[in-house]
Amino acid sequence: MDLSWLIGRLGLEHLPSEPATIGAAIGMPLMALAVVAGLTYFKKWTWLWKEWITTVDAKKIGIMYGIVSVLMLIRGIGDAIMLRMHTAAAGITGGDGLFQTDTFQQVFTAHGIIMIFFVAMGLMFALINIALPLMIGARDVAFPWLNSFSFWLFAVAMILVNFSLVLGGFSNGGWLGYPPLTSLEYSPGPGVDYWLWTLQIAGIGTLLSGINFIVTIISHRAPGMTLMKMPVFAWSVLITMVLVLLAFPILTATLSMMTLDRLFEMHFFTSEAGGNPMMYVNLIWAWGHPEVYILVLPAFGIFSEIVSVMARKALFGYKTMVAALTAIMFFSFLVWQHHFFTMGAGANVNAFFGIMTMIIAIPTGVKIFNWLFTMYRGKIKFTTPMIWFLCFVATFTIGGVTGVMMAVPAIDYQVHNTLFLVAHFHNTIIGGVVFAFLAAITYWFPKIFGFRLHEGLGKIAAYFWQIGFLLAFMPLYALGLMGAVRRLDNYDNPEWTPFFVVSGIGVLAITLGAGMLVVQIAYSVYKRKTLRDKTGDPWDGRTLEWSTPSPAPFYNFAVIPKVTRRDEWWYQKLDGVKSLKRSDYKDIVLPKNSSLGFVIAVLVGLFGFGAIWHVWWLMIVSMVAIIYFAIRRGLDDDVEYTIPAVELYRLDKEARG
Amino acid sequence: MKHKEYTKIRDRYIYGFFVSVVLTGLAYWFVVSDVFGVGIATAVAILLLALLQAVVQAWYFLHLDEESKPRWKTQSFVFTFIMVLIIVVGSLWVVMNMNYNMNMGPSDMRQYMIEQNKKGF
Repeated sequence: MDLSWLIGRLGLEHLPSEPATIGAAIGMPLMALAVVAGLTYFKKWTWLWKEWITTVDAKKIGIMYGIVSVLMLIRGIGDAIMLRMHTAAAGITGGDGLFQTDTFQQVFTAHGIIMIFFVAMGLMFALINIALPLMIGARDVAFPWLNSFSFWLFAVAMILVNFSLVLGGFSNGGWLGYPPLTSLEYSPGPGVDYWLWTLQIAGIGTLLSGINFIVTIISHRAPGMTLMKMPVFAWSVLITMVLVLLAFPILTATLSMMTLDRLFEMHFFTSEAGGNPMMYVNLIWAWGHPEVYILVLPAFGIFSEIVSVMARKALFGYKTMVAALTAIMFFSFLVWQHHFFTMGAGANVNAFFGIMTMIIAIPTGVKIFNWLFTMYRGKIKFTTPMIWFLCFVATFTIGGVTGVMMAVPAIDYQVHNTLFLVAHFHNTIIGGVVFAFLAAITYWFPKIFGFRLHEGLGKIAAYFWQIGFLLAFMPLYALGLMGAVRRLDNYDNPEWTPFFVVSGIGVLAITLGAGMLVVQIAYSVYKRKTLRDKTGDPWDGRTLEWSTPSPAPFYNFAVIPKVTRRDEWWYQKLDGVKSLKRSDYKDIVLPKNSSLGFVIAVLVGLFGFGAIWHVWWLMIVSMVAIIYFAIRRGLDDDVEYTIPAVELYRLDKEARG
Repeated sequence: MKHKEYTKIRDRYIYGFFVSVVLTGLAYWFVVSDVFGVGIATAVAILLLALLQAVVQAWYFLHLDEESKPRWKTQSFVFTFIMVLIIVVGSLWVVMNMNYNMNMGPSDMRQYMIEQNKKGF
């Protein structure tokens, strides 16, 4: 019986067939089942629905982003272990390594997508949601419901990418999936479609968040906080979100064209009928290069805050910092061709983009010096975030320098597509982005959960990450110069084996570091009574988020503070903090919880699933439902509630003990 | 809102709608009637109409002229325009220059891309 009208191209032949993937395919549903069973046993479903799934509170959404990202970090590290164990084993045994080539390709594709979209972007939005509204003295983001919708799109995309393990397998076309390999002709299976729809859904969620945070920063700052009095983190988020707003539509459009190619056999990126695969590469990097700045700019913002708090000095060169961020915003759109110098363009094009790439290193260098001068003659506290910062300065600078090396087209011709490149971008993304986000988790943890993370364990984790990073990636620089191409699953040069083995050991050290982070969190939860933050200001901070009690209440500020200068909270503490009078409290209006963000996102996920498996009726039904619920949300006027001043006064007294 | 003010705003939308319909119709007519013949002239004419359309919409629907300082909308509009220009012109430049070192026909190019993909980009 032909069931293809009902189930599209779903079929049992798409179930995994290799031991590694079968393990994952069985393990993941079991884990999901365990979670469901646990929730039912402890009768937590209502709690989960009311407190988390329907929440529009930016801090809670931030926590959920964080949880998803940490889970995905573990999966991503798992992928990394598989890759490096495979190459080490292939060298030692002289055989084919641990996995089939196709599996190896799927693993590195998934590793890239997961680490960029679901770890780095996820942690970025976690931290922005948690810290930004508090930092600029806002009660919430500008569009709280949209925020919840963005998060659920992100979560649905995450489920889709992991579901591919169970059914259908993932793309094997690399994280940016260049055609023609990813075209219908060479990859007819569902793997590339999983990749497409995962990115598409997560990308739209990111775009919506971008709009949300721009409006929040432009219109929700505390009275008196002009743009030039904002904390640098807020500046970095503003610039980042402008980049999101300009870059992500390119991704959406490019992926849409590719989807049309694959779904309806069109010819945007094929070699026939006037299509051009080069145009895909060009467009995806016109998004892809701003994307790396989208990741790293918030990291710069975070370290700007941390270094000035831990050095107990105002940030050196605030204005140059802002100027540097703005310059990067502009220049990041002028360098994309450096990702494909070797693809056949002439000297003029390569020279232009090469020089632009060298120029963009200047504002980044300015920042490094600003941080160093901030530390200069400061009374530095060597806390865990500061240790991360010191690791970052050294590591990131190396990554930046190798980046400038590759900006020279002549050098790039030598190292393009080799492990040298892989080492370079891990150098900037681990040493820059990941270190910053892990530092920020330690830094803002007490503000959200009300107790600090254990310092000693955090420092051990940082050292493991740093040493593991050096062990894992310095050999890759050498291998790259020796000619080892990236995504290499097999080699017959015995001289490379020691390097791959050291790299494998490095990955294990990083894994230990990640393990230490988990231990740190678990131990801190266990010891939460002794680690409790009673003051609300555990680091002697400078910005407004530290003026609220810890954990920050759901309304953020009982009374919105007035701002007259940079580092307002620091100077308020020097002048003596004025306590609030009874008459200062006014009624406040807060957004109501809504389940529609979750519902629409799930429908979007079903739409994507239908598109992957060619289940047309599912696509139509879910699209109709999406439009219905979107209109229903649009017509709903009852979206806010008021907390009266009396109640607010009581809540605030309670929160402050 | 006062009645007069309301009429003024409403009329603006109606003018805007009218002008954009005329511009769209004009573009359609250029193609159907073959006034410029088949070729580059028609394409240029349509592109010009599209640009005009964008300006009309920014003017009548986004109210860029009425904005008070600090003119966020105008600034972001101009900035976006510059960025789109960079991406469009840049993409054309890059892709048209692509064959400089390759100089191969579509079928050779296809073979080359397949081989490159096997190596992994």
